Amino acid sequence: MVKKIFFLLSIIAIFSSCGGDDSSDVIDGPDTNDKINRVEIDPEKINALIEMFPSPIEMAATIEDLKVPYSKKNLVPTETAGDFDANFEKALGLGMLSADLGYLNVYKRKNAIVEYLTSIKRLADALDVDQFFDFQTLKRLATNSTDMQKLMYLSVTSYHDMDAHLRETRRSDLSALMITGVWLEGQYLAAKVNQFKSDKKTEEIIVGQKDILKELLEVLDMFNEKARFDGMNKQFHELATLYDSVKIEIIDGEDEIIKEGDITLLIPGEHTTIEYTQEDLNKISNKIIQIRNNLISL
Amino acid sequence: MSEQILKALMQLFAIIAKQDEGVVEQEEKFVKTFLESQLSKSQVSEYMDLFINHIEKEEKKKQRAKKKREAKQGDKEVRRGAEEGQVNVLDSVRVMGICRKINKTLSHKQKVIVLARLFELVNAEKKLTEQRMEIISVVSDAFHLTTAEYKEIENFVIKDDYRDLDSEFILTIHDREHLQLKAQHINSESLHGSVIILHLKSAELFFLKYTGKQDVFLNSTTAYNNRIYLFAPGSVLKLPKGKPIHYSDVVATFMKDLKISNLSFKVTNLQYKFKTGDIGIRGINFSVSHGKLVGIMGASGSGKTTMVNTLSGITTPSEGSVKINGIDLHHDKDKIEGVIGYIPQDDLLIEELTVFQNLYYNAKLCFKNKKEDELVKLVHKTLKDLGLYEKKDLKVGNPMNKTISGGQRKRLNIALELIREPSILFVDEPTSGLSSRDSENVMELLSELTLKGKLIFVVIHQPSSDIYKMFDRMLILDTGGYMVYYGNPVDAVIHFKTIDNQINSEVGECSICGNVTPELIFDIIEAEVVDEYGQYTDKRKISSVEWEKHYQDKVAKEEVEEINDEPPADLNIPGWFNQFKIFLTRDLLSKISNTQYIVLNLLEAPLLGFILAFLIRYIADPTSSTYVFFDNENIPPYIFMSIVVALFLGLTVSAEEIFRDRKILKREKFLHLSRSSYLTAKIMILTSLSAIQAILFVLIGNSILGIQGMYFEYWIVLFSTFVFANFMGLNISSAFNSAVTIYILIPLLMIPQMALGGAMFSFNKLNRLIGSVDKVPIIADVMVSRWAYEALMVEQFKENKFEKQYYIYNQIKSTANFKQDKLIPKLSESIESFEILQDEINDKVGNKDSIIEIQKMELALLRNEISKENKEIFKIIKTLKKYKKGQGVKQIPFDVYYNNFDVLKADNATLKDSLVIPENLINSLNIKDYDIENHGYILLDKLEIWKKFYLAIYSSANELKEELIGFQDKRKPNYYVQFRNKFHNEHLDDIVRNIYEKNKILRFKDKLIRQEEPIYLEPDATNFIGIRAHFYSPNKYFMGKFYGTFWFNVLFIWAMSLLLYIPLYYDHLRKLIDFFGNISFKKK
Repeated sequence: MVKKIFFLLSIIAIFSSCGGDDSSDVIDGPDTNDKINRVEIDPEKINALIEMFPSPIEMAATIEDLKVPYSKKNLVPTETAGDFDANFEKALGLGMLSADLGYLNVYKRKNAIVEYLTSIKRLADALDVDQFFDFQTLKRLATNSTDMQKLMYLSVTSYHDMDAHLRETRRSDLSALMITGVWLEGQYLAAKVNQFKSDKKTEEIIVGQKDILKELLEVLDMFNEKARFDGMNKQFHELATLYDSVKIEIIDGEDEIIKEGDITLLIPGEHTTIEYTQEDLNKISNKIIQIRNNLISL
Repeated sequence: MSEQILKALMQLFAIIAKQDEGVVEQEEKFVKTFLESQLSKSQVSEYMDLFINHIEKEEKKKQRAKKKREAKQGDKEVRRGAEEGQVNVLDSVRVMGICRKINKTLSHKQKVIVLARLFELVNAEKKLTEQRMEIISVVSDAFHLTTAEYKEIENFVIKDDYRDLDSEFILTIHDREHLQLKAQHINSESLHGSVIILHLKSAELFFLKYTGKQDVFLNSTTAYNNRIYLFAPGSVLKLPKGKPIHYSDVVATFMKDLKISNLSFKVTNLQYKFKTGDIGIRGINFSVSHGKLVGIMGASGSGKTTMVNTLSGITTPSEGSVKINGIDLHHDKDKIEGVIGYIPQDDLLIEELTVFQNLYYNAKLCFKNKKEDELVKLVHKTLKDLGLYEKKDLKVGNPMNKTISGGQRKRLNIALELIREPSILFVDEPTSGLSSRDSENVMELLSELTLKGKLIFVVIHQPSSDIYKMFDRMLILDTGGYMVYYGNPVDAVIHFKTIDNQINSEVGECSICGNVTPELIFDIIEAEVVDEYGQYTDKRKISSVEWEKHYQDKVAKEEVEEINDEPPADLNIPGWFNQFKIFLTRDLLSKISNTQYIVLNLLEAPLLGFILAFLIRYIADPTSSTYVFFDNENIPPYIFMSIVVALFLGLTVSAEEIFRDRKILKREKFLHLSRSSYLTAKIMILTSLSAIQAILFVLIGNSILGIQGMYFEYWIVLFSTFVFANFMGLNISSAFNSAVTIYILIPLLMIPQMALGGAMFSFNKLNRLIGSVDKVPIIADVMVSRWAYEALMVEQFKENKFEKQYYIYNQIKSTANFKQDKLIPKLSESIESFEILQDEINDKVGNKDSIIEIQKMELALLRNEISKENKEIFKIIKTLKKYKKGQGVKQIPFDVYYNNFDVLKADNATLKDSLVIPENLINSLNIKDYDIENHGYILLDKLEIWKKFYLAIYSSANELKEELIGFQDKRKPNYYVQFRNKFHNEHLDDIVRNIYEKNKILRFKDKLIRQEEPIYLEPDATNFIGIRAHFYSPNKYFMGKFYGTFWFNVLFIWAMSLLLYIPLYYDHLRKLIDFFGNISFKKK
């Protein structure tokens, strides 16, 4: 009896101890003498780029005006955000979620805002930039305050701080990814809204990104050597070619100053005209949606 | 009698009977009665037929021979002569043939019995013709019996008058004067005829016959006139009048001249007082010499057990002494080692072992010099002596599940002590629970021992008359520990009857049947006063004190000459290692032979492993069917549960070990056997079992859960935990009195282990009274679960194939990040808060004194933390340099620079200059000297430098890590994620990094305590001894050195286990319990 048991157990032991495969061979790091290919971006350049982005507040106003119904489907699902593995995805996701946060602000979806804040916090933690993200305050603002502007403002500054910190700690690649995320998700949301309810203003936002994309690609191309940048950049270049047929013209004009009580407003006289066909718009919109979906279904 | 003997006998009977004129009626009757006395009725006819069959055959042969002779008519006269006067040659040859067959199958003893029976047959009709005697002589020759013995038997059978029998092998019992020279004699009361007993030395047999006409009973059956009986061990011969003759009496008479060593046992004024103040026994005085069977009787609670314990040296008396051959038993124990034996009332047998094994291992422990075959022979002999030989291969079993009878158990118990033949033997109630036959057998056995010169004390309860009379001396105790009688047992009855004024008080036993009624004694002693209504009152007629006085006054005291020889001791216990080997084999055998135990123990662990692992093998993604180790949130609970399983199994498997052996241990203490070798053997077996259990558990559990490449680590931790639990179990099993208590105790031991294991409750969130902010609380440090759990958690996190590649980067990142993000801002905050407080003072807001108190605290914090951080900076630089150079570690090209200053290339002086906050600045951090402008702002600047410095370190580590991952992913796409999913566990990662903690940094008095990512925080090394650290610390500090947590913890568990060996060895826990037991139940 005892013998039998021993026999049985030893068989189990043999079976369970086998089954090693070569997929678990550890790859040692690169030769330590190899110089690290360090890319540094001029902060000025990034700041200028960010400034060129369509302002989230402006975007919000546009969407609000259109009275497009809220759809959670348009956002990056938080579960997906939880699955982001590499820093590449995390940084990109951090940017995307912040754009989503702007969208949620428009509809004042408090529960969803907290949910997204939590996701953002987790990603920020993982990237060691959580110190710039005052989760508790943001959460309080989201749940108690009606002043969504303040929330927007705080989250935007948080982003600037995180971005700066990333660059300060030699992580320009992540900084670039984060701003790419913000931009791409903004464009995606605009495209989605526009598909639901076509509107000139929105269309112009979408097709008017020609120069911004060019600048962004300049930054992204610096990291072509880094893993995964290659594939992403290729898609953005494809997008850039779709803008070739879009013509943007800047027309000079005189600035106008309006006084409304204590507030003085400067309305720039300079304005742009954009020439595009509906086909251009559709192609661009679809490409944006495609790139964005590719990137989050990692 | 066996079938073979019977068959041979029938054949031989037939041959003998046909001699001369053939079978006489008387002879046939003899055969029949003989068979009747041996067999049941149905079998009698069977053998009778066999006998007649043989006779008929013999007759036919005789006829044929006759006819042949008649056919040949020559030499008629001569032949006739031969026919009538001599044995047929053919018969002789046939007898030889039968005997040759018998020789092969029968033992010497049996052959002697056959021979005696043949004589008896011949003697039945006194037809002692020459032919018949010749046949018997042929048989005797064939059986290789000596002529002398043959003659002895012949004489014994043939001669009826004892006066004709005078040899050293004869013993006579009659009421006449003993006039013989050589024969032994036992005197009897009036008896018709005599009883004659023959001792056949070669076979160690006694034969008996009675020549008178009265009713004499041998073992309760009538002994017929002139019939020969075997007088077997334990037999009793009851004569019409007087004491029965026991086998032992006969043996004693024959052995009278044997040389035996002398003993004197002198008890003087013995008193034993319990710790409670009660007196167990008092004023005991008596002496006795060797070769006596002393009975100890008394009502329950009269102190019999105390008496035996004190007399045998188990307990030390409060007053008086016991001297054996002048040596004080209690104070010169060494000198009389092995002299005393003790047979407690309880069973001392190991249930799982056979009768032989029980005795054999016991013997092995007593005689180191005996060779293997000698030992086996001795054991066999002892078993034979006690009539247990046939049962030798039976398992003893327990009293509930009997394989051998109660009497046999008792005899085996006695055999354990008997085999080493101690000179003085104490036996506690050997007859309790036995049938009267078994009781008599057992007592007979003890009685025989006294013949060899042993002194035997027997506590006896309600003995039968026969047993009572076997005693040489009787000691009677009365309530309160008074000795109310010591002396001849039958005289005791007379003594008490006399005092009680009973009629016939001068007669001790019944004049007709010879019975003694020992109960009578207690009836008299305990007789109560009757009140006027005829009801018994609680008051005794005669109190114990009075009884004692009566004894002192009326009973003559026996003085025993004090002997000064060294008392004989035959104890030769083997050395430590040999004892260990014997214990080991004995224990192992008893375990292996218990199939249920083995199967259950071997299956339990893997089964639990399977159940546990199977239940929690969880796939997080609802859409997927692939199991991902990384996503299984149940890994930390699995680790914890494994430890709980190890503790439980280890505890339960050992919790009864010593408890079960307790009685055996008590006896073995007498033998002065080594407790440590006993314990070591026990531990060895338990730990081996635990090792196997741990292997099985880990193999099954880890395989199912996909915990890869950590089998050994899990095994060693679980095994160590098992061993600790084993030790814990052994301790309680040694200390407590019942199995129930032990099992009640298990939760008490287990729950704290579970609660303080670190998995259920966070250590920094415990009650303040036991909690500790920066270290595991001491109360948890004594829990083995905490060490085991931490060891596995840390090892599983740090040393899995995934994290192992990145741990050092992560650790440096984590440290640098904590400093720049949490610690340094906190210090700056402190400086700023001082300033704000100063403003409040200047503005005369609030209570100045209390504000200054707060300011003092801020400064104290700064002073303490800054001087600590000054050192930390050099520590981290040293580590980075070590990796950069690859000194004993994998080379990692750290590259730390800020403000165009390369930290890792700078010399110490430069570093000190630029990074260290100078001593004078730290010294100024007191309320008297501190100045915000001169000190505070400089400090803030310096802290800013620190921040930059740590940021630079962070950057470098992060960059290198990303570089490594990028490289790996390039070589093999998705390498990082694949490895992580396979070897790393997210939930475990969350726990050891303490991500659920809100306060990443905690201020406690003048200290800042890091709560963030404890797995990356090196332990505090300010205390030289170290050991204590925060939970999940990756390393441990001990005596000036750092050790990996895994091995440190494993060794710590072993150290704890070994520490538990000390109380186990000295039985501290039991003593402690006894101590408290005595306090709480103290009577006034």
